Amino acid sequence: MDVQIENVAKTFVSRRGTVEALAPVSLDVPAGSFVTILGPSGCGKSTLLRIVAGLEEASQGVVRVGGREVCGPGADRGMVFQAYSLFPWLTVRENIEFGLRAKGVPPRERRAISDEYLRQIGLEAFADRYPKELSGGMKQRVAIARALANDPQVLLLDEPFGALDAQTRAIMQEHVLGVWEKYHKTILFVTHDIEEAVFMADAVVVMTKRPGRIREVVPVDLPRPRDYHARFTPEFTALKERLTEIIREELTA
Amino acid sequence: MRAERPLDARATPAGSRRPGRGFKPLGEIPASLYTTYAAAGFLGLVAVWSLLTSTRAVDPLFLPSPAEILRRGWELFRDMGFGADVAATVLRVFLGFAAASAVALPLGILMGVYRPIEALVEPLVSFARYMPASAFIPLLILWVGVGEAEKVAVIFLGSVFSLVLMVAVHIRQAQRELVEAAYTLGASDAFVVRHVILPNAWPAIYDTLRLVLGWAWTYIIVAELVAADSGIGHVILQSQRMLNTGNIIFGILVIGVIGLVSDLVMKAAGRALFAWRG
Ligand SMILES: Nc1ncnc2c1ncn2[C@@H]1O[C@H](COP(=O)(O)OP(=O)(O)OP(=O)(O)O)[C@@H](O)[C@H]1O
Ligand SMILES: [Mg+2]
Repeated sequence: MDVQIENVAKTFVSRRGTVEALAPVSLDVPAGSFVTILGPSGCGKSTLLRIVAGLEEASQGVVRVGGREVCGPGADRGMVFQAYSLFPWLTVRENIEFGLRAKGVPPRERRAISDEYLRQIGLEAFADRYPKELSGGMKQRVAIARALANDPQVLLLDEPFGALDAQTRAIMQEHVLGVWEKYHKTILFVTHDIEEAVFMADAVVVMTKRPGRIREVVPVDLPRPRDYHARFTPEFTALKERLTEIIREELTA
Repeated sequence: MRAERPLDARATPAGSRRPGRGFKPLGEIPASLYTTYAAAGFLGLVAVWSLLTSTRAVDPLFLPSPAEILRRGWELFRDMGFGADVAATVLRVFLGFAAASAVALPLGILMGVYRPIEALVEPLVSFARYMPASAFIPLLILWVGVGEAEKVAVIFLGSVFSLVLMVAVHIRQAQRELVEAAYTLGASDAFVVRHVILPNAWPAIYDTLRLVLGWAWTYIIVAELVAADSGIGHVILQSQRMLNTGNIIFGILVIGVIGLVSDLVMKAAGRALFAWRG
């Protein structure tokens, strides 16, 4: 399903004043494409993603997913949070099955699906462990599997690898790319990391400082499927350089 | 911090056996050492007490020796049917506490989950909480007499209001991110309450129940001191009338032991129940 963001803006109003987090933003994400969002801290990236997820109400504008207006969270849009947000009282397997259980999928079927995802993320041996026993990278893999097991049309990822070390991060990036190539979900992926943004995306959206607007959309035409070799091509380096320039300009403007 | 330990332990083999081990802020000690310290605390108390009585520093009329108290306790059980008193008190605490929980859990959960219910109930309960249960005893005696109902009612009144408020607070403590994650996984409101908000709050609610059970013991003794024909509090009061300090102290110790044992049991059960906790 495609995601259409039309003139979406957000102003937070509280007793201590108002914060204009997001200036009107419009963006069309075609079905099955992988879009990354880059922008300075506090420019409203998370806010935008939360509006698409239906966790936050836009002050103006509408979001349409597959043509239907968003008016609350739903199983069609999965989300992966920066802080993993696994349910600590559920085992790895139960976490992965959470959405299926909410949907009323019978236990046998749930188990078959969680088995598949456990294998995919290489955590079969940890199926019955609790989140407290996992490393950060393992937790994030479970969070991604939990979102995917629910088979959402759209996957929203908010700096999912922010807390991981460089090596784990690179492996997780390839993992997500593999998943995307296999299932062709529509993906919106927020990151701080220019290299990550280029490596994953069909297009990189660069946002301005707060209140965030879209400054530029940079298409990424690197061949797919991509693995770490892609990072060493001149095209990759050129894109990185261009994005670095845009962001430096934005920050010093 | 941790990473440096093995290194300097290797550099100086004796390093790991530094004096004062375990006295690092928030440091850990082995379970066996913990037990040793705990036993030392109790033995120390008994030693000081024995010393005071054996040197006649205090009049044994007011503080008998530990051995004397144990002897008195044995007599209480053997000749005076103290076992029945203990059972009566335990049963009252259990009934009052169960009644308070049966009301406070659903009400507190509803209050925590739904703001309108909180607005309706919270001010009333907060007000009621400041009325001491013991002050209700005379009124309760007038209402329901001096029988079992009065004892159970004192415990009920003493625990129910605080319990409601604390349960509601624990429910409110649900992490917003976990609730949001559940919604993005397609959970309904009812599913979120049942599978996120409640499991998230159970450990804290359980600890609160443990705490309030301790208070229930205080209330029952007060109730039994005022008016009762059985129970530990009743025996304590009778003993005071006969200047029998040994029995009084033994009664108090029995309350302490029962409280300690029930708390240990609940603690262990809690650890088993909530193994997922970090
Ligand atoms: N619930 C809220 N109430 C008030 N202000 C908020 C709220 N959530 C976000 N904001 C404000 O909106 C602005 C954008 O926040 P947002 O979290 O979307 O930024 P971000 O681009 O995701 O930043 P980062 O890269 O640091 O995660 C910030 O100035 C923030 O202070
Ligand atoms: Mg953010």
